Amino acid sequence: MIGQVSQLPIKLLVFCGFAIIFLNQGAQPAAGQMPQFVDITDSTSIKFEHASSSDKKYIVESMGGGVALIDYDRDGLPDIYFTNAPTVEMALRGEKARAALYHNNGDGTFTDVTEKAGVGYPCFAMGAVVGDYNNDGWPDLLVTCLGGVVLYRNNGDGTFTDVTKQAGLSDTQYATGAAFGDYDNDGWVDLFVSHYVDFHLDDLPKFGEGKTCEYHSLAVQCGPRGLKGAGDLLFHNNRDGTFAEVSKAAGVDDPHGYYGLTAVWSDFNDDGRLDLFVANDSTPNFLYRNDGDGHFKEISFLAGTAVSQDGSEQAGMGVALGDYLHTGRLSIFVSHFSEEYATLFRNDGGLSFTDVSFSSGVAMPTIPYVGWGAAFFDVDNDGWPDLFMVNGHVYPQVDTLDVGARYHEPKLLFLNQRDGTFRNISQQVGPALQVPQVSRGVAVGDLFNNGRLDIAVENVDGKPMVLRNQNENHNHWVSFELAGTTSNRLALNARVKAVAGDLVQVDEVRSGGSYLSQNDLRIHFGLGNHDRLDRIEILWPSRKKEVLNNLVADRQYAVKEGQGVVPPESIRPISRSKVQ
Amino acid sequence: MQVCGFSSGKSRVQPWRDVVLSMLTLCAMFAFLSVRLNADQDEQQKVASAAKLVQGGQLGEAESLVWGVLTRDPDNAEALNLLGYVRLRQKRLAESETLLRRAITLSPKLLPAYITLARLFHAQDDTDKEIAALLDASRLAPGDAQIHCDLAAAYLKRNDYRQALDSLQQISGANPPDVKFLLLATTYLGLGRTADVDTLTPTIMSRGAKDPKLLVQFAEVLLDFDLTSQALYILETAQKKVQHPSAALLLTLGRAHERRDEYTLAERELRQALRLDSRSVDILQALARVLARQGQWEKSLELLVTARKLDPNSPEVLRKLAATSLHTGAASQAVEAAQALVKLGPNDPDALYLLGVAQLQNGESEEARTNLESYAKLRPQDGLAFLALAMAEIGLRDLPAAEANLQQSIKLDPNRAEAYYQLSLIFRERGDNSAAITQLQKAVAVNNQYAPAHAVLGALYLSLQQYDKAQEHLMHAVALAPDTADTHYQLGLLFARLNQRDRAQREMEQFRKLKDKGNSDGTPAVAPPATFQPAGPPS
Repeated sequence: MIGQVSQLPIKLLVFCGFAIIFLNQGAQPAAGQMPQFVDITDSTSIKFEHASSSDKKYIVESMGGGVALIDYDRDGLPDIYFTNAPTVEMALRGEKARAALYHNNGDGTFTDVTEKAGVGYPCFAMGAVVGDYNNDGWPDLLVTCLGGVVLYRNNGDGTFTDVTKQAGLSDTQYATGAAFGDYDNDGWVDLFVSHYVDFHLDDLPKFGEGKTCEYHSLAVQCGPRGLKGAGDLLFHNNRDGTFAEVSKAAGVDDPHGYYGLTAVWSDFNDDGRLDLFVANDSTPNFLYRNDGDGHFKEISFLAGTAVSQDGSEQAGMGVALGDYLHTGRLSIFVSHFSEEYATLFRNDGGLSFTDVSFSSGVAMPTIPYVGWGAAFFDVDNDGWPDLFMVNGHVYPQVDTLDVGARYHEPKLLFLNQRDGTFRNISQQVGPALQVPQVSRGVAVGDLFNNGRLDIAVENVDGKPMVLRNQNENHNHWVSFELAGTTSNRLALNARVKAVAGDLVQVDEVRSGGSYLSQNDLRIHFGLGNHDRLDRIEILWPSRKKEVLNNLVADRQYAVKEGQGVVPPESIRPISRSKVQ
Repeated sequence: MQVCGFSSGKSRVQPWRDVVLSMLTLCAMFAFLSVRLNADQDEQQKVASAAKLVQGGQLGEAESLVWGVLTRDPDNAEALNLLGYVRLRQKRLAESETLLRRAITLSPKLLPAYITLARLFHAQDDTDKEIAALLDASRLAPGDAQIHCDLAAAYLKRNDYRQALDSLQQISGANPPDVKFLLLATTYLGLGRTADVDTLTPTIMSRGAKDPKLLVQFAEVLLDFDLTSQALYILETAQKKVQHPSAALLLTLGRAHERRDEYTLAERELRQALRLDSRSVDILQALARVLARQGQWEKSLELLVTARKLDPNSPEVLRKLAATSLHTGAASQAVEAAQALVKLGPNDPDALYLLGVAQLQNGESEEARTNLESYAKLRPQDGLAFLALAMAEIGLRDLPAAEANLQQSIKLDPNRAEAYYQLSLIFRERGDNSAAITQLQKAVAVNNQYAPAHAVLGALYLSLQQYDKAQEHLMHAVALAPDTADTHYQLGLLFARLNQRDRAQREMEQFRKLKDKGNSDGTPAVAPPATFQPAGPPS
């Protein structure tokens, strides 16, 4: 009947309006509202440059470039540590390359405090990760090197002391990835270090000689294939400032010598024990299931994380973990060499993963590039973690080839479409991501404490890049700085579940990840249009569960294990220089 | 992928014809010259001497002598004819034709010139012109049996059996040449008159008693028409008549056994033939084929490499060499052989196809695309052409073009499982699992034995957590192709999901074993797609 029909469109419009208002958790950005990442490096006063040789004759010259965000002075602002390594020629002459620690001044600028901190010349460095090995509340810095590791103890007064020897971290191999994690839940973080190839400066492989020193018939640096691999090391924290090496007993020593790179700890099967994922270059990845009592079992093949979907070994470089599907399970993203796609292993539960790289949309755009540092983070605060990856080839000689590859490569940013897929928005977030560079490490954090996550990128040739997130939308956010009491002091691997209406997100405090790098240890959640959190559930490493309700959005919270929200000062130790 | 387009034996010119034609040409020349000896004796003597030199293979000296004559007498038709013949032997065919035509213009009844012209057109594979020249010759010498034989042979090249029979029936005389009977047998068989061949057989057998070569040639004719048992009978009879069988006899015996799939016997005969004539390209090719039929591809390849050294410009050898190289994974060798083949015949579609496929296997996708595009233009109704082109485009990551060509391939040949399979992989890369599954279902519908399609279907169902369907297809795939590493990997994942840990572990072990084997011996653990193998041993 005419009357009823004519009412229908109006009712439909009203219903649709409600639907839009009620269901919209934070709109996907319209074309003009994409978050923009702006290169602010020049304005930061950061002058660091990674040492570099123009022809990269040796693999060690291509594999470094880790960057760490570390609030070394516990002022609530993440500072930046750039690793550095000399060229082989420099090293043979006895010359070193200066790393740099930049203090975050809070006004968009950074100050070089390397000399004062005493962290300028650790070694022929590859990467850096953060952990509080002595539970004094001051984050310490672990640098991986050609020739072992260097553990810098944070003295709490703006300085660090190299305590590698007294800590018992005896390692003389080519260390690359590392991660602190309390695998035995005793409240003290242990340390895993992966190793790459058996490489010595007094016995260099000959550039361009042999099949494994060729790329499309071009002479290039040798390796990793063709070079002998190196096993990995697990150090158990003795709680007295020292570590004991327990690799073989634990079953993580990698007797076959796979080419280990980035490593991360996480409880992938929610059984309360930290498991370990290691990305291996050109060899199958490792997924070690923690069976308790200090033992691990390598299960990556059965779990589906060892190789690609068609059973091929890939060049695993960087690792990112994220609950991109809001299932409460952390999936694994691994970056790879060019002509291989970056792999997204969807966590299906029960230590089963599925390679969904193609169906998620991340595979195709990554194939042309050599991928390194990567991170899941919410670029637009809509509550859904997006995915960022940096690229850069290893062979400068590739520019002479006509195969489409280039030495300098742009970066990639994928926007989470909330349905298991990602959209490549790299060209819509500002020109900075399109600048071709030779990037390696990535560290993500809220550098300016404004609720937007920024990015520090270390390039192995030339200057780094600091990208400021200029997001003009009005989506809400919240962040947490956690402190353990029974658990390890920095609350590494504390798992946080944030609930805002039907928006449920999970994330975890982690040491290491990306590519030989360290993200901001604070946990950040975008909340879309939710202006408050209904509740957060924190599962501390001690297995204690803490629930906090009704938190206002757009704030940073400090949470102490067992005590809930506390003033930030109460979880940050007082600087010893102030005390003195 | 089938290496197709090779001709059958039935329209192949028998090699014994070439010998006959050479003899005919020289004989005619000497006969004619002797008639003309009285006129211009000095000049004619020189031409006759030159003809003897040609017979002895001394082409250079003959040429000098003939030029001497032509300098004084540029219109000397016999000299022009002889020089034309020399040029033919020197493979300077255009010059040869010019000289012969001039000779004929000057002396329209110069029979040798017509015969030499026919030979020239035979060399150029221009059967129509060859026939025209031979008809002219037969008008000048209507009673000449050899000319009628050659005419019949030329008609047979066109499968024109009626005309061939007419020519042969014009041969009269009590003692026709042996070749007449061979040609008659071929003609009767072509006309389906096997009873007439049976009538002819005693005559051939009787003549063959004096010349066993004739029996071998007769057996070859019978083999051409798939009368293998009869051919074997003839050959075994011939073998009994001689103390030492010739290489030609053993070669034909080998071919006959091969036709009956008696490869061991065939190999024995052919190896014996090779011992007698180690430089025979025909024997090398035949043995290579028999070895290939027994799966001994590497040994087959060695023989073909030798054959090529002996006859570097033989299209047949190059074709087989390229195809066999592909089979053994020697892709760069296949490319090199195929390139040589294309050089001999730039517009030969089969050569272009072979080159394109070889380049594809060798990772030269851009070059493969160029050649396969050319092939597709020459054979626009060949579905395989578009499939191969799509593979080149996939190698170049030009997926939209690959998709279009795969669709075209399917349109031309809806029963080609690999086209659906490759299309599914494109959809899968695009993230469209549903479209990928649709194509794979079509692939297995047209060919349920196509393992790769089952394997990928299984993997897709696994990723979609449809475990029953995943198991069904993966089990089928592994039954069809048990040495494909990746299928075992997928099965391992599946059984892990189903909590069948032991089974999962076994599959993963098998996967790693196959993978390590593939890595250590350089051959891929996964066989190249079946379509890109020559369909059987090269013909």
